[in-house]
Amino acid sequence: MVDAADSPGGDPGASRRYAWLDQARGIVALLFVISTIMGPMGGNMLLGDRLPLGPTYLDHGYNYYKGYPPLITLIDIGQMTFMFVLGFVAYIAFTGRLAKRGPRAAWAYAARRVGALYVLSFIACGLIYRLEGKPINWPEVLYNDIIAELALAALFSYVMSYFVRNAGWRASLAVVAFVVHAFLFASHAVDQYPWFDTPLGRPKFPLGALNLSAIAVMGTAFSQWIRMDPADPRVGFRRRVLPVSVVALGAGYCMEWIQHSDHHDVTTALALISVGLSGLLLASTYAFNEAGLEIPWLEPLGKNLILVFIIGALGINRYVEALPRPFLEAHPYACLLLVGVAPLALVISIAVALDKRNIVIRL
Amino acid sequence: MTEAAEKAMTHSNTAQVTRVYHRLAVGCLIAALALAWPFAIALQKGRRVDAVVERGVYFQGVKLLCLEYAREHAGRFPELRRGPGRIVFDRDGLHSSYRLAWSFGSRLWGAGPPVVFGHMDSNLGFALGEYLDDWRYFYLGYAVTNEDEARAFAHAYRIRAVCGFDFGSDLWAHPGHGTLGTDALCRLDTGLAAALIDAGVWDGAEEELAARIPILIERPRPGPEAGGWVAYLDGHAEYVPYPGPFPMTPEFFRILGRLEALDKWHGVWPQDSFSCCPARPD
Repeated sequence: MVDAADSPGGDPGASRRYAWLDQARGIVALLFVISTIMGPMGGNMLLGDRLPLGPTYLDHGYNYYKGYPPLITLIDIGQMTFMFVLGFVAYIAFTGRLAKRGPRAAWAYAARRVGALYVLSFIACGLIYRLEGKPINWPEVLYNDIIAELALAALFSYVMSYFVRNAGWRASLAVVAFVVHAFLFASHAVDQYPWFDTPLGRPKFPLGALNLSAIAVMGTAFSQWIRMDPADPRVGFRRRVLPVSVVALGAGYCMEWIQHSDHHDVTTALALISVGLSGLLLASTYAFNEAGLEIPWLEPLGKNLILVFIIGALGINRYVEALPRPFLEAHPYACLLLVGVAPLALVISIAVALDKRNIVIRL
Repeated sequence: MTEAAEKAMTHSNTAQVTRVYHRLAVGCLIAALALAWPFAIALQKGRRVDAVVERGVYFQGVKLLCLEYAREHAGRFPELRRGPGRIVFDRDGLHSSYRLAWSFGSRLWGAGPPVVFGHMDSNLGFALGEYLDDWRYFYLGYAVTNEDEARAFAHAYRIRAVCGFDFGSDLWAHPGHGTLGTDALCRLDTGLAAALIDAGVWDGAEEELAARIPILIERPRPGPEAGGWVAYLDGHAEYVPYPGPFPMTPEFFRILGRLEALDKWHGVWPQDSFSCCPARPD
């Protein structure tokens, strides 16, 4: 599945901001903030111990039901789309530096990004835990928590972008990772996320991190395909992005019949569907942009995705958890304002204010 | 560019894109066919583990019943069933359910089987009918931590069961053959580990001792994942391979098998002929 179109023939050095890409990143940022505020709003639908609040399709299924097969909702795609976009942007940034300033600068940038993400991971799952009197959760700091998974995904994106210059080969390697994951998951060769099999003493393995990294690597391939013709991104969309996205969706659908989606272990079915939907998301924001259509606030949000992520992971989460649950259950309007609107409004206001001053927070 | 040239270019582009779709679809199909057989083997292996996990889920339910009983009876675990041959707990003291899931009994779903909910995870249900199958589990009701103590238990059990006495108190054992080398087999109690430490029988940590005393033992199953679930006094459960460490040893299950066989003798083996049997208390 490789032809000349997969070769790095574009102009990686010409790293410029794409408005449509910022729009897509904006949607991912919104999904991330929503998933953060929805986390503490869940409720056990079997025990009925807490009343679920807010739009349930925007909260992870496991916040309502922990069982088999897992309950998958719209937001379960959010994390994977985030990884995909991370890989997509990582390719542009890394190869841009590689072409302009050489390998040393590119790797210094990569080390800075991965290092900063691990520092954040240590703060979120180490330092804050310690301040709360809990022991540091090293598996979470290193590979199990979302920030650590971002760091690993970024690392794999840079390494693969550098050592495997052909986008088709990179995508194929990502597919190999999906297949390996499917086998490991199907055979119970390693410990899965739910507690059920934990007493069996299977070896621990970061199943989630494996497929999330593969999704990010897939993102790097899409990024290169879009610049197949540097003058006209439509060529890349038509010849690679759309076909691969559609086939990924089809493959994900078929895989779902064989192996259910699972959020925490990021099973292959969910990973393939995420790749497909992420490709379609890019194609639709590109098409909107071409047609002169623009959704307000998405671009500023997309430009400062990292800032949104930090605010969400370290600030909003704690704010929502601190709100008194009985009060929110008793007053739906207050719940809407305090949980549903205020954090989103805050994040959007910060992003718009920064955008007006042309400030982009980078790691 | 003329209209004809534009049309020809569009046609060529469409053909090119269609080729990409075809190649991707054929690639996926070839990969799926090539991987079908190894994946089936992986699935088969996974299903064997799933079966073990499913047994574990029911096992956790039974364990939970015992723990709930202990919580409601000042730490005392259920009594061993009176009468020979059934090495399980007496159901009389147990509730038929502890916490019912209203969603299963809602008007939409109909009454359905009773479902018990536990606290080891937020929402797992166990139908009582299945998990009170006393063939699947062994419950000794006493702290037995090795084969020597198991033999002492078997001896004491024979006497009490055949004579029809209850199992409400500690069992007498030959000196040094009781729980952890004491002179008695201690009734299971949530405070047992602390009591044994106070008595100077154990010099390690309380948690460590509680994690060594089995309270519920699944009858081991053969097969590639041969073994059985074991729940311990501290509440944790493990899947122990068979043959493996105590209690998953062939000798231990031979002892239990001989005790189960007492059931067949009951009735043809009159109590009066059992010379060592003390008078039955009123």
